[in-house]
Formats: sequence, C-alpha cells, structure tokens
Amino acid sequence: MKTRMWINLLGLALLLLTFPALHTMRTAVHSERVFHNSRVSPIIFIPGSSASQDRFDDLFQTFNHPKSKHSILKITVDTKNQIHHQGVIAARDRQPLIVIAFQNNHDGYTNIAHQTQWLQTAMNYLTNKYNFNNFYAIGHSNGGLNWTWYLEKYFNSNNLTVNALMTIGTPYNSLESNFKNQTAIFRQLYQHRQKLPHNMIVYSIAGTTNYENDGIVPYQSVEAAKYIFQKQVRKYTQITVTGHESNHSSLLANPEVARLIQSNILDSNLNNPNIKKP
Amino acid sequence: MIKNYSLNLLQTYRRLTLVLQKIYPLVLIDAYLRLIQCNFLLPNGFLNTISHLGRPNDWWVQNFNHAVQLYEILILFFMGYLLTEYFNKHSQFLLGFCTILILALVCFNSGRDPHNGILAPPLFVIVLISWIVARLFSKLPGKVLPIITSLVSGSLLNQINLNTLFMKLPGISTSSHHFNWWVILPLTVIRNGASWLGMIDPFMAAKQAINSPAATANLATALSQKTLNHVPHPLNSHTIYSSYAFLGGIGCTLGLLIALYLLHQDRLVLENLIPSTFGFNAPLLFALPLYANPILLIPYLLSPLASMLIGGLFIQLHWAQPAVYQIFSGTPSFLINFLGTNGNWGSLIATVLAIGASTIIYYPFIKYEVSHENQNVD
Repeated sequence: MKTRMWINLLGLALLLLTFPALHTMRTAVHSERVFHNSRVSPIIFIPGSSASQDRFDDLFQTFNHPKSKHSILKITVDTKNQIHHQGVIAARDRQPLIVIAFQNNHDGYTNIAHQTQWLQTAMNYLTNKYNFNNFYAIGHSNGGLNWTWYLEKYFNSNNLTVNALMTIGTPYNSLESNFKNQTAIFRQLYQHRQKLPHNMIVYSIAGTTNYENDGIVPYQSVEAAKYIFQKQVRKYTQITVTGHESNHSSLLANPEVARLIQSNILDSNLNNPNIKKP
Repeated sequence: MIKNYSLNLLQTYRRLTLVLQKIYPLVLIDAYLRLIQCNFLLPNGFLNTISHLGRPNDWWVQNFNHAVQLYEILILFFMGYLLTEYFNKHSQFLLGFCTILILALVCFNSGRDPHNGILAPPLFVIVLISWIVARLFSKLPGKVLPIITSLVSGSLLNQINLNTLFMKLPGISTSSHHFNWWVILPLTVIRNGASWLGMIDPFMAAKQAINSPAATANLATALSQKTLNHVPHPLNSHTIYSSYAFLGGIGCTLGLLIALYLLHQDRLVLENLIPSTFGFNAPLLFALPLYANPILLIPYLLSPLASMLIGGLFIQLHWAQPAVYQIFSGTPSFLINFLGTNGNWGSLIATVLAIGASTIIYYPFIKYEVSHENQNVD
C-alpha cells in the first residue's frame, strides 16, 4: 500500500512538471522566433501621391523575373487608421517586398503629415506581425517624404534598424525650383534632420527630361535632400538619370532605376550593417 | 526429434528470460544514469532548462559519459557470462571467460573513428555468441584451443561490428516530403519487431530531432507566422512517427506501465515510473522480459500503430496541432507533443488518448503474463 502511495505521489509530481515545462518552452520558442525573424529584412515601398498599393507591380515583376524570389505583401491604411492587407510573406523568404499605401493619397502638407502617422501604424503592425528588426525603405515621389518624416519623428532606432533609404524623384522642397523659397515640408524635414538614424545609407534618385525638371518635380527640389541628409547619415548619394523613361511618373519603369534598386538594395545584404564582419 | 528440438528451444528461452531478469537491476541503474545524462548534462536538457540550473563543467560531463558507456559494456559482458553459464549444463568458468573475450574483441573500436570509443553489439548478437560458446566451444578439448578460437572469432566479428552491419536496420526515412501511411506503418512494425528481437541497442534513447526537410519547413513557417494551423506538412514522419510512436520509449510502453499499475505490480511500476516517463524503457523490457516474449510481441507492435493513428486523426481533423518546435532533450514523453506545439491542449488530449489506447492494448496481455507468472511461482 505504501508503494502505491509513492507511485501516486511521483506520478503527480511528474504531471506537475507540465507547467514549468510549458513556461520554459514558451520562452524558448519566443526567443527562437525573434532570432529567426531577425534574419528577415523586408524592402518596404511607399508610392507617391495619387497612387495605390499596386503602383510597384511592374517593378516587382522585373525583380521576380525569371524566377520568383520575393514574396509580395501589400498594405493600405485607410483614413480610420485601419489596415487592409493583400498577399502573404512566404515562410522562408528573407527579403519580402512590402508596399504601404494610403487610402488618402493626396498631395499637400497636412495630407503628408497624416500619411506619415498612418505609416507609423503600418510599421507597428508589420514589426509586430513579422518580428523583423531591420528593413530597407524605398519611396517614390511623396513616398520619400513620408519615409524621411517617419524616420525623423516616429522611428525608434532601439527596436528597428533601417539599412538604407532610397527616394525616387522625391520633391524635398515641394515644387519649388528656387531653393531660396523654402516650403513648409522642407522646413519640417530640415529642422529635425538630426533625429535621422545615423547609420543609414541614403540614395536620392532624380530624373530629368530637360535641364530643369522631370516634367513635374524640379531638379533643385530633389537636390534639396543634401541639406537634410548630408552630414547626418552614414552615406548620402545622389544619382541623376536622364533619357528615355526619365519623367516623373515613368521613373519606376526606367530600367536604370530598377538596376539601381537591384544593386544597392536587393543585393546589398553584404553591406548590411546588421551583419558585422569579423 | 522435432519435439526434442522445440523443447530445447523452450528451455533456451526460459534461461534467457532468467538472465534478462537477473540483469534487470543493473539496467535500471543504467536508465537512471542515462536520465541524468540526458536531462542535466546536455546543454538543452529538460530538467536542466526548466529548473534554470547551469550546465556542469565539461570535465564532469565527459567523465560521466565515459563512465556510463563503460558501465553499459560491463553489463553486456556480465550478461554474456551469465548466458553462457545458463546455456551450458555443466557450468565452466572457462566458457564464460571465452564469451567475455569475444565480446571484448567485438566491442573494441580499432577503426576509423577513434572518438567513438566502444561499439556495443546488440543483445541478439550477445545471445547468439553466448549460445555458440556454451554449446560448441565446450566440445573443444583443452584450455588453449577454446581461447585461441575465441580470439580468432572475436576479431572476425569485430570487423563485422565495425562496419555496423548489426546496426544497419530498416530505419525510417525522414527525408521524404510525402507522408505515406502505407510506408510508415509497416516500417514501424519492422523496426519494433527488430527491437523485440534485441537487434537495436537497448540503451539508446529515442531521440527527437528536427532534421527532415518537411519538419524544417514546418518549423520555419511556425516561426514566422506565429500559428501552427498553416504549416506546409502537417503530417510528416516527425509529427506522426517521432511524436506519437515513442510515448514511454520504443513500443509506447507508457501504456504498458499503466497496465502494470492497474494489475498491482506496484514494485515494478515504482522502480520504472521515472525512467519510463522520460522515455527510458530498457529496464522494463528486461524485467518482464519483453525481449523475445511471444505474448507481448503483439501489443508491442500494435500500440505504436494505434498511437500514431490517433495522433494522425487528431491532426487531420485539426483537433490537435502538429508538433513543430524543437523540444528539450530528455523531455518526458507525455509532453513531447504538448511542448512540440508550444502548448496546444488538443495535442495533449491526443497524447493522453494515445496512451490510453496503448494501455487498453497492453492490458489483456499483461494480465495473462501476470497470472501465468504467478502460476509458475506456485
């Protein structure tokens, strides 16, 4: 009888192991998940004004040709701060392409301010859901303004690393061709430029069809980026593309721009500051 | 003639049973040592991790591992010695010595991988060697000739053992993406049958590692999606075979232990409760004994199948999630699925049902064994 009591006691003790075991397992899985996902480094695109989440479809096709290498996730934040998503990130994709678009995609200072807030919502959603800790940012036109503003105002470099920012035809001084006429958006970005992440690499691509502008955005407005980024970030490079497909809205179809993204962003894992070389 | 032969076989079996039961206490100690080794000395040991103890230093770990290995070899030598003695009518010290000599030569790893140390032969081989020595060597005249014969045959067998011919049994291929019940069930039967014959190292613990492509793909998905409902391969050799066919060790012997408990075999249950829960069932296989036991073969083959089918059904119907995460080494087997799914209650229920099913399967056979044994004693 005494033996039986011991069996029952021991059995109970073994069953009770379930709870500390579960607790430890949860912790272990959590840290493994964080470790796993820190290897994911998405490339996040923001379209310019009046463009939807499908703005980059053609560009993505060139990246995924001839072999589909990157999964695509599209997100639109509506005016009520709600997130609508389309597409999935494949489990083992380390470089997914993500588009963040806004239902209110209009131009203008207040609209851009709102969009930047919505961008913050989208970024929180993405980092919580996919646990990545570093990413690449690409913005076309006003998308570049959203990124810059976000990086200055909302971005927390303790939780997240932005490896590189590439803006394509972004009007840093709105549509002003004379730099002496500083616009509200430029002043906003210039004032807080010291809050930019210092380890970031920035590329600003300008397109010109003549000697002055790309049909919409004046060359001087794109060039104004130097006052914001130079001496603030690790590297600031400005690139000008001309010739066929160099006007403002066709810049994304320009094979040279695609090549610049490919070589500076997609293939730049070797330059990833997160991967420290021994 | 035939009657004589079968009588002889029965006698041999009875003697084998006796020896296995004599060895049992030694194997029981070994199971506890193995449990300590798995749980405390490995970096991701179960008890070590959940109690947040640090890992002891390498010097201790290495010496402990060597000591356990040596201890196991000595058990096997002793078993060979006893078997030779029991198989021969007039017990002679010389013959026992010959068996040990052959076994020592067989174990000796002179080959390519010096780090591996000792290569233990399976039980089946030990029984065979002991029987041959007891029956044939006794006919050799003098003392020198048997010893020379032992040396020669031992070195020959050593070569065979080095090529791990004894060990190369139909394993379960885990590299296939496609899970096929018609492959996995017969293979499980063959594998368990082989272990019933003593063809698999009894001291080897069932390892649960995630290394097949399907299991790795599942793990990657689970890590990036936070849910186990959309893993690409819900049924694979890992989620079914490794997770459900080893509840309590090979042959799902946790059910056997519960059957013993229900039949009031209290001492045996108490001794084996901890090792069996952690998946070390070698002492249980020696004590009954289950090795080469024709009655217990049936439930030994059936209960893993029932367990796997229950697990498969639960996963297929989405009542339970498939085990995906890497669990700690030496995790108690009733927690393999629960922890492997990071705490899915459905899979815990499936595990409990699977253990229940194997209890039901073992019960009548154990009942017969127990009553039979009592008769023998009377």
